[in-house]
Amino acid sequence: MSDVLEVQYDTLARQHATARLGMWIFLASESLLFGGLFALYAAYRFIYPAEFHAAAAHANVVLGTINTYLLLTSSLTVALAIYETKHARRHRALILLAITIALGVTFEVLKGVEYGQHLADGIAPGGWYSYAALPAHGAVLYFTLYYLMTGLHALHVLGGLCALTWLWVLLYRGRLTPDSHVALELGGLYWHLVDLVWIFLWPLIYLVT
Amino acid sequence: MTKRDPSEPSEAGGPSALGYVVVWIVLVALATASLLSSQAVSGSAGLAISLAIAAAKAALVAAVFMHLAYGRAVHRMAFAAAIAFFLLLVLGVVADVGTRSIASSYVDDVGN
Amino acid sequence: MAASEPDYLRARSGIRSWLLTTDHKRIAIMFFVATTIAMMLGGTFAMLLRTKLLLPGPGIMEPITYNRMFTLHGVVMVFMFMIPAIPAVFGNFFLPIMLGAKDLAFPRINLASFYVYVFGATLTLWGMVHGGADTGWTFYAPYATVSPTDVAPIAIGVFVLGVSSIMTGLNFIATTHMLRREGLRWHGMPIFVWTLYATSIIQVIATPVLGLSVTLVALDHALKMGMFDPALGGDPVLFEHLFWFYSHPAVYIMILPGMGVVAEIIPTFAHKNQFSYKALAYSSLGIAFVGFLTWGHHLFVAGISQLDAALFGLMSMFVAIFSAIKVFTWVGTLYRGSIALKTPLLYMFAFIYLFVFGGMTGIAVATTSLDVHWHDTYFVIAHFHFIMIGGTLTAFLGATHYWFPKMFGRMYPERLGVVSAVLVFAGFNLTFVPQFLLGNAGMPRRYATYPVRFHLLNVISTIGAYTLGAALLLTLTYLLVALFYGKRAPANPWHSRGFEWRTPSPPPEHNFIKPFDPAYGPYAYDEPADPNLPKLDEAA
Repeated sequence: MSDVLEVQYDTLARQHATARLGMWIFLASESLLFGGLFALYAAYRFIYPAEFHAAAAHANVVLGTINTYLLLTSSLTVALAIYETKHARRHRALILLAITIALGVTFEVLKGVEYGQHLADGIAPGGWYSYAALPAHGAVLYFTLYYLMTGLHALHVLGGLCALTWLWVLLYRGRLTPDSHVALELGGLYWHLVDLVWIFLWPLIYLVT
Repeated sequence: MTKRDPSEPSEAGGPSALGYVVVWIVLVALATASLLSSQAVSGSAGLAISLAIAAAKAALVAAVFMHLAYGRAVHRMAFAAAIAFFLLLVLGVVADVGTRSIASSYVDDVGN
Repeated sequence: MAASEPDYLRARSGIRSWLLTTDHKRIAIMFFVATTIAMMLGGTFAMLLRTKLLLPGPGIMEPITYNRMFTLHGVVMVFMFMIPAIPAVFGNFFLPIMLGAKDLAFPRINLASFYVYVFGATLTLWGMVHGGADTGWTFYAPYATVSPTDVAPIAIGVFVLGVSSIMTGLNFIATTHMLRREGLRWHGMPIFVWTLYATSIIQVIATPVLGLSVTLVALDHALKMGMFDPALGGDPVLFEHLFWFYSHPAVYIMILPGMGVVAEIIPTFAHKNQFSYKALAYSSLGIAFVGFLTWGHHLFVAGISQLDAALFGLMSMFVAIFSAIKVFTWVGTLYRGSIALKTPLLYMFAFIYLFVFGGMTGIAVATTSLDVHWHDTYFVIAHFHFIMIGGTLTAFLGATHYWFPKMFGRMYPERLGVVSAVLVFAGFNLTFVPQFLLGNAGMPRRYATYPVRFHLLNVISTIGAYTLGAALLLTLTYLLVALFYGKRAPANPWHSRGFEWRTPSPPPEHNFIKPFDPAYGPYAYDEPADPNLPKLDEAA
């Protein structure tokens, strides 16, 4: 994203406003991608309520909740990073953006730990499931959905981390200025979407009682 | 075309740094409330409460962190459209699964 | 006056200036080539299918080969032609021009959408070469998860093609909101823009759900994910819900841009204002919205609850209201117009006639109790081919002829255009009217053979298919010749008021010599023309 005014725009402000709109349209699209999985979750939970509850008791509520707090905080830090950039305090912005990335990385690591714990128990998706203590269909479907939904989310977190890292480099090199930092705004918007999806995933996966 | 485009509100809009922090505190509080209520209330009521709290958190993130309250109207339209179609998908599927036992003349393998 | 400014085809030269272009017009031409090749490939599969069906019983191909053929016919035609064609070709070329802009909002995303399309098409074709899937283009679980054929590459190819579609839709929405020329308000835009906008909303919202559903099928097939596997407690009908949540609105992606083309061609060749601009504009949004509420009518006999089926059947009736509003408005525009009977208008007559029949049979199958008889028969096949060929392809051909002078600076041969249009119409009817009769008599779809009593109608249908194929080849041939040897086209050969006709044929790289004045509307044939329009009729 450069500061060069493209030929189809009359002002840089218009170009930047269009970029923001483009990102919002993209976020709307992404919500429908997750929407399909939420629809499957809703259907299967309706069909197998008791088995979902039994399976969810094996979810790691501690790790899931820590991850929730991590993501909420990372939304704060990325929003503040943009705020500081707008007010020409580049050093603070760099630190805040670095914290955001660190929180995201921690999220992924904890997710990996969680997956490892489940796999060690034989809890794997679909036909690979071998957890003898919970053989019921509904339990298998709960865990398959768990892997699909948190897996798709984790992929999006990964993409977000790559984007935020690239943006950190741009900020470091002075390419994001108080008057022109729309790329950072777009990265922030994407990161908030990742947080929004987790806000709904968390109760559905971990707070099933 | 004028140099400064006066129709670009989010160039100037948005909360103060304190505003962001206050919203974060509320989000953390809501998350904690959700965790505690899930221990206390279970079943359908528990689900309803946790989803309601999640919706409140999402509204705050969208309105404040994502500047939905400070930006252009078309952003709010995109957000509303996403919610509407998301709900249509989920509810449309549940409407089938949920009414099979009361509005069908057969019983399938899952006992519905 | 920059009459010496080269047009977009000649402004830059060399292969890199095409492959790395960000000019929306050049990207449109590249999509034109790619989607035409796709149509020919899908058409070849169709010819093979119809040839097999000349005789009942075993014939030129094994049943599993036949199953692969109709799967590939569907996948190629739907995802590589019908969905992208009018938006990525004519939308790309004309949306910026119709808004008075110099390009789309995101030209590099536009170029990327082309390469994503090529990548998706390559994956799909690679899957084809590896034997291809035999599941039908609808990939239904549970068969898709256990099929012995290689489902995953084609499913992932479809996913990637969907990403290209989302990119196009996103670009068009942003462009329409943000790049309208000063003075051009929403209610001054050409109707084609309204239909592209409505289409783009569907593309952006619905396509991700398709992406998810085919990915889940690929995962189920390759990695036993078991999301829809009854043996693991899964419900195959849920796949159908996800698949059709996209694929029903998808048919409106296929038809809405065509309806926009009709709304452009008819005022020009009737030399008359739209009968009701607002009816056409708002019915486009209405179709897009209501189209999302109807997907369950594809699941009537799949095992959904009867209450759900009833609701979806009711909703499916409503979308016809908006289609009817459009048909009446088009006819009202023609009425008492000064008709110029040229090839584009002939295609529009065909469109209206065939779309009405196709639409009425759609209402028929939307009636739950009747669909129990017709579901999965040739009746349904005839219904959707009436809309897809009779509607979308006809509009595509009409658009090709209408905008050929503008895009390439050449005229096509009018007499051959008329001959081809008549042959296309005749061939189409000969192919598909018998299929309504076959389906109603009980011939099921997706079978390599049929009972002997259906033989005659199948022979007639195949003769029709060969006629249609020949007519399309004839069209392609004279258009290719006209590209190089056609008479040079003036800026406005049809004497249209449309915005795209206020610039040279072909347009310069940045679209306009002088920006048009939107106060002189695109359909205002009863008002004086813009007196400040530059003289454009010397070919550049």
